[in-house]
Amino acid sequence: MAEKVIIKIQGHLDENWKDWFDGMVIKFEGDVTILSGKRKDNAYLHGILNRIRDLNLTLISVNPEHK
Amino acid sequence: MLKTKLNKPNPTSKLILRKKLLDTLESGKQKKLTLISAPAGYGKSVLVSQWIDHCDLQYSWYSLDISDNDINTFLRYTIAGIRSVYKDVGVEAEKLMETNSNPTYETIATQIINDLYDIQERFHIIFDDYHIIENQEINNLIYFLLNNLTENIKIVLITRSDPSIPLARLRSQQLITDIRLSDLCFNANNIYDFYKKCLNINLSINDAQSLELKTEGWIAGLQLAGLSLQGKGDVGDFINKLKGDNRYIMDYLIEEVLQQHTQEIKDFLLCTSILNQFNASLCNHILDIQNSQEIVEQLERKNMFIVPLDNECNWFRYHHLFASLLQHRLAVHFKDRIPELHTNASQWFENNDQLVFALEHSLTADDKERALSLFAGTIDHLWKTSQFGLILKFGGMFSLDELVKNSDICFIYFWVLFESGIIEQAELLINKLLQETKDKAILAKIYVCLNNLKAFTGDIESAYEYSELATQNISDDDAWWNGLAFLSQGESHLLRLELTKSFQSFEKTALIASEANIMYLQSISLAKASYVLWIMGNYSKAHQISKDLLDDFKAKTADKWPGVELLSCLIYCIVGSYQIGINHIEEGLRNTLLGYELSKKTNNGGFIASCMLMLADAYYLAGEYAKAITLIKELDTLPYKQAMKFLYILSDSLKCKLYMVTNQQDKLKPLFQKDIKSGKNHALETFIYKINNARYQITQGKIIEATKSLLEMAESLKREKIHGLLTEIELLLAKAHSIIRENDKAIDYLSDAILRTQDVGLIRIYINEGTEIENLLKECKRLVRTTKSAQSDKLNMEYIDKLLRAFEKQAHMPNLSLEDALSSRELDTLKLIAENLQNQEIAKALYISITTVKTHVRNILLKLEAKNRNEAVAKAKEKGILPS
Repeated sequence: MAEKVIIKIQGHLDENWKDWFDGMVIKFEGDVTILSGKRKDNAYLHGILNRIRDLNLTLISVNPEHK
Repeated sequence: MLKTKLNKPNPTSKLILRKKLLDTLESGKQKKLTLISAPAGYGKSVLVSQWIDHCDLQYSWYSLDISDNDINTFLRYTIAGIRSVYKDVGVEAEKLMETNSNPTYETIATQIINDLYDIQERFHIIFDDYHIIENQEINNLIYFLLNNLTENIKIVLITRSDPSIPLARLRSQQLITDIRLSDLCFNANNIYDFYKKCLNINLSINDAQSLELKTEGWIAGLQLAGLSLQGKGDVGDFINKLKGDNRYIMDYLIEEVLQQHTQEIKDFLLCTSILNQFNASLCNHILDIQNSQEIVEQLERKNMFIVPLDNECNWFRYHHLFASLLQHRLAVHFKDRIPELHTNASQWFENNDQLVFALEHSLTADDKERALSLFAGTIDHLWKTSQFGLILKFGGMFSLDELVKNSDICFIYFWVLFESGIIEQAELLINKLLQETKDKAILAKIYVCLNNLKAFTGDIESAYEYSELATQNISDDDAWWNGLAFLSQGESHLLRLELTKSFQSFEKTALIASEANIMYLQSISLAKASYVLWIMGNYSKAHQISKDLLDDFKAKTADKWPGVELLSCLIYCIVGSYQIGINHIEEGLRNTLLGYELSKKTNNGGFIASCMLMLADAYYLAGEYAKAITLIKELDTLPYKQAMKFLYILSDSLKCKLYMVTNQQDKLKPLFQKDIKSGKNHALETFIYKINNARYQITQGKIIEATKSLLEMAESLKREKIHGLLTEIELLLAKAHSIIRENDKAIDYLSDAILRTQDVGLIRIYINEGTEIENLLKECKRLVRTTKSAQSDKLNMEYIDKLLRAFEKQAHMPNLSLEDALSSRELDTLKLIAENLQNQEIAKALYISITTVKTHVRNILLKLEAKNRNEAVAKAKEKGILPS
């Protein structure tokens, strides 16, 4: 379960939102914001996804990290 | 209860009316579910609110928050919402929820559905922010309502993500009106109107199109942009500079909007963002200011994402998205102030008697001491209203060290843990409390808890010790604790096979419970008392107790409290067992099944396991071994069966009997390789084990060993006057002696058994002992005819004939099958059909929906192969299912 997860969302999210995405690193790639971090468990991941929903961010993809 | 959660937000008159969407909504009025599913800030709630106002619809509105994930809270608010329109709906359901019997949502929902049945007009039950719901039970409830509510009652779900109910099925049945993102977002025309009407800004058509492109029609973004445009000269220039992505706009715009306000307003917005809802007084308190009313009015005038929650404009909340943005800014800029703000909020809620909110804020502020005292203030109310979910939630937020500072919390939390089957945690808690306290009254209650816990897990050495301590120390005027003390004392005595004492303890519990009207304790204790009398051989009194209690339940609950009736599950099972015992098999199985079905609805692990065992035993007695084995295997998987000693003993005993009658040697062996502790504390277990062992030895031909062991037991059972178990032993002795052709002795034993059982007419315990007993009975009958003796004069010939007929019938019908027979609910329905009741009346009488009635009727017709209702009744009478 403790693999890394990569979440892509549309647009640029300010770095200071980091606290809201507990333990996630925020990076940018073109017009896309990339959140990456350890996938602690399912509840954690759903929490992050709910936050993305509640902040009205557009979710592009959720993937495990490619090694 | 927070009334504001039940108020429809009132859109200000300045909003534009979305005519096209209103038409879509209204044209879907035939459909049961309206689903408005779109992200934050697209005007979902406003749209529904406009629809209600515009079409003048009857509705109840319920805005959900995190705390509504508790099914009881959810039901409570839902009912309160409906009652604000129809005051007679849900009265019984509310009473039912206050009985502490923990009824299921189906029971409550059925009540509501039946109450709503009389409403003729179209009525909408609206749930706002439904995405908050993570509790699948609530989703199931909504689905249950959708399936069972009458056509004119509609459900509206407003949500950011699609709910976990089978939407595909509902869609395929054309039962959903969908409003989604693409329907809700603004086009250039809408934007133009919106800016003009609500924000007093004149846009060029180019600007409007540009805004549509850049915000993708996102209304909250448009509103923010509008707010930051206030007072700016060049509108076109500002819009051009906006980056083309609305996520970025949000972050950028909020800064712009805040810049336009004074420091005072900025502070106000940031600090009050921690509140889910606020009024002026609350804001004054947390900020230590006086002019909140003014500020709130000003914000409302400026359209600052503020939503009035009631008609009097006392309570408000921020638009959720706006609140999130403010909270974020607060955390970035004034992190240190947050605990203080929560503490202030907690104080205000406490001063205004809203302890659950006060508690939540003090927990967020991490002020444990304060939180604990608030928890203490509210836990009794939560307990009495069955809000176990909240108790577990709050209880889990404190460490044991913190909890033991308050014994009242500990005791209630202990029972909630205990009843929820979280035994280990319950034990840790109560042991910790034991270490920490010296207070006598508290110690007495601890003893009661420990006693229950130990008796439950079969640690009789400890249980017995605590039982003495508990009954000596507990105060007489506390019915609940006193009752519990005697209940577990009875349990300890039972496991020690001190039956007279055990019976007295249970009877005492029942008396205390009945005086204080605690039905829960009353039904458990009388069920146990009845069981004790049964194994003592006082069959008629055992039956009388359960029958009286059942009548009492029926009288108290007739047409009223089906949830309280759930508590009668044990009693139905006992009455059923008795009926089977005296060969009234169909009726008996029906009652036992009903009891088992009721138990499943109680959510009480102990009830479910006990009723399952009794049903398995009933099947065994009725000769339906396969069904009994299936059930007993299922019982093995229940955690309660593992933890509860008494159940464990009886279910293993039943397994022995079942595997013997079905001759499954491989499964029998392990059952007789158990290591049972000797000594008084394990007397019940030892006896039951030995009886089965002897029964097994007899089938193995080890007659001498079996007889020796049986005789020993018989002696001691006679001394203790435990005649129920004695009867079983006498039958086995008779069987053993007949095998070695000592028929005189065999008949003596059989006669002893008959003398005990002939008055009440027990039949089934003879049947399962097999042909040896049948042959002995025949011989016995012949002897009575030919010889005269004091002993044989007392034997009732009619009873012996009845036994022989039962044996004969068993031989002719080796497997009495109920496979195609009617279920208990179908039978109930059939009885009412026979009384010429219509579907609607039947639904009301049985607390089920009319759809369910129709299903039952369909099944009845199928099973009885009848063309119509009259024919079904005629056939049922013919088959003896109904009295003719």
